[in-house]
Amino acid sequence: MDTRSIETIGLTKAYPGKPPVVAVDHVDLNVRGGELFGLLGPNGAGKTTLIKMLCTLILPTEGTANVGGYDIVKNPAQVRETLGWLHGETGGRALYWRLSARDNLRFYAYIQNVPSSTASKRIEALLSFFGLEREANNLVKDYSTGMKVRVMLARTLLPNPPILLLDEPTVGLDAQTAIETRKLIRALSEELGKTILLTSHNLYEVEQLCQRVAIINNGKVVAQGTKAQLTQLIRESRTVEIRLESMKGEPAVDLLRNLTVVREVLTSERLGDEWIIRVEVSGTEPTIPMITGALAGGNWRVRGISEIRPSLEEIFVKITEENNNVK
Amino acid sequence: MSSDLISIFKESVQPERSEIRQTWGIFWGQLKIFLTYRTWFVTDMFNTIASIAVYYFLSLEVKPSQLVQSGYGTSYLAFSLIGIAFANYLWFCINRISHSMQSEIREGTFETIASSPIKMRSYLFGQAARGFLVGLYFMAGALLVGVYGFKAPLHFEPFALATTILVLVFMVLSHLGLGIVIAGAVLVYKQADPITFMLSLFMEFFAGALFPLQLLGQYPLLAYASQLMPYTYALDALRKCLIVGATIANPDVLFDILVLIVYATILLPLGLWSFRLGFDRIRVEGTTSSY
Repeated sequence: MDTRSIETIGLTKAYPGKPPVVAVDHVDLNVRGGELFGLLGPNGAGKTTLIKMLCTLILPTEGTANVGGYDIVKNPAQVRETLGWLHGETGGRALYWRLSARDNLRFYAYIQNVPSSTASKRIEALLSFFGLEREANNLVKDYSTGMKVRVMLARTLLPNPPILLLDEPTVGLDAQTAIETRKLIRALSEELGKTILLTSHNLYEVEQLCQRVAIINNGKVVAQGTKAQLTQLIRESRTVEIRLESMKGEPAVDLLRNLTVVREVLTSERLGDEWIIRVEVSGTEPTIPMITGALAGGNWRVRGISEIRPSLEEIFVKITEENNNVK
Repeated sequence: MSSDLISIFKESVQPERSEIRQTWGIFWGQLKIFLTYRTWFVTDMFNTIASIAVYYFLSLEVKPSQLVQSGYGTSYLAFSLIGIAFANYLWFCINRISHSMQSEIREGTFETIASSPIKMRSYLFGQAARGFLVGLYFMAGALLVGVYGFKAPLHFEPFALATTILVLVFMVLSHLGLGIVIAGAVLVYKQADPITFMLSLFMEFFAGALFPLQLLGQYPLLAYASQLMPYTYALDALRKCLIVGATIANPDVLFDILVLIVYATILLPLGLWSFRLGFDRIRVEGTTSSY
């Protein structure tokens, strides 16, 4: 087994209760060594429970999980040494607010077994990278939320673990720092070969960074794969954008609604002297010539028509909605 | 920008896995946090001095003959000063561990600790070391105010003082297990103040912090209960050292120390075991961050 991989087989957590509350339900995941893997899910989907199980903070009720080759139940001490966990969603709550950023990092170096000389060097480099040098000796309680998240990020990276669980790493950061942080996350994966499990509500971020993604809903992994593979899952419904030269669009919308290939009119809005309509189409046949032909027959001038590739956000919404409907 | 950082992390470094260093880290960090509460630091010392003053006025009413019988000299002020100063010290130390645990859970830092490679016993000993060191400040302050402010007749001869320090160490070790048990209870029940308050009253009463235990002679059950308290033995030894200048050569003091060692040997592993149970329980319940 790769000493940098994360693997779960049938991992389940049911919290005690009458009846027990199943937060994670037979989850199978395989994050390869050096991979940047995204974990997506709506609030309450089970992401936090899954991550806390990987961190050894919560014991599973069923199934197994290996982090860096170590079993999370049998070898918790080794697992803890192998991974770094950032819980950015706490907005800096998990820091010692009555210590400075520098002292927080020094404290963490002690409990993470980082030798003092190495710790000093890394602390200064991290403070510099995250732009915290000037306030490094001020108490964290006086920091903004963004600064606290930066200290948390620095703390997670300090012991240089081979596996990182980054839960909302850019929440609360300003745009510039968020961009720099994304670059750093990519570099950590590409240049240092770190395995990174990333969760974020910023799906653009996940789309930009992650090679593969798993979508978790109601405790189950409902889809898993590359973005292209996930797109295939919702392939039977595609979005087409039509730009019409017109000041009035409603009659065109009515015309489109009556076409058999159009499943639903998603949006219809005027932009300057154009009318932009987005429709969801079904089937695998070439829909664009059919739509263009129908519009031409109704004397509409089509300025442009194209199929829109779904964003990860759209894929995510589609898959979780479908999963909820099935349920 | 990230390339500088990446190059630093490319260096291969061997982890420094030392429990002593981990314990020191917890002690250092917690002490630094504690020292930021300056107002509390001053007001608590004021409370300690105020309680000594109360017992000074009480001492004016107690007859010396009652104390002579117990072998603790003739001064009730000296008698009660030791009883209260060391009891406060002990409860300050014990409460520190559970209070720290409560605030760590509330502030979310406990999960950071629990998901790090630190051994839980290093964490607990580091927390305890901070409490015992800071507690010394209050205890020393109370003793100094008692001796120099209210003229309590205490002896600080070198051998008696050395024995006092030895007793203090074993008193701390014999009660540390109890502090860890309470910290484990805080993990599970999130609150332990009412229990610790009741325990402290119970122990102060049965160990005779404010009256000689001979007074319990007419209530055999209560007298028997007092013999089960480790603090009873610590207090007896401390009073004999500081009031009448006894040393470890005194058979009573030596016996007290041996009893404290037995308690430490039993209670410390018991405390660590019960804490482990509490920790495992919150891992099952998923309440490592609930408060």
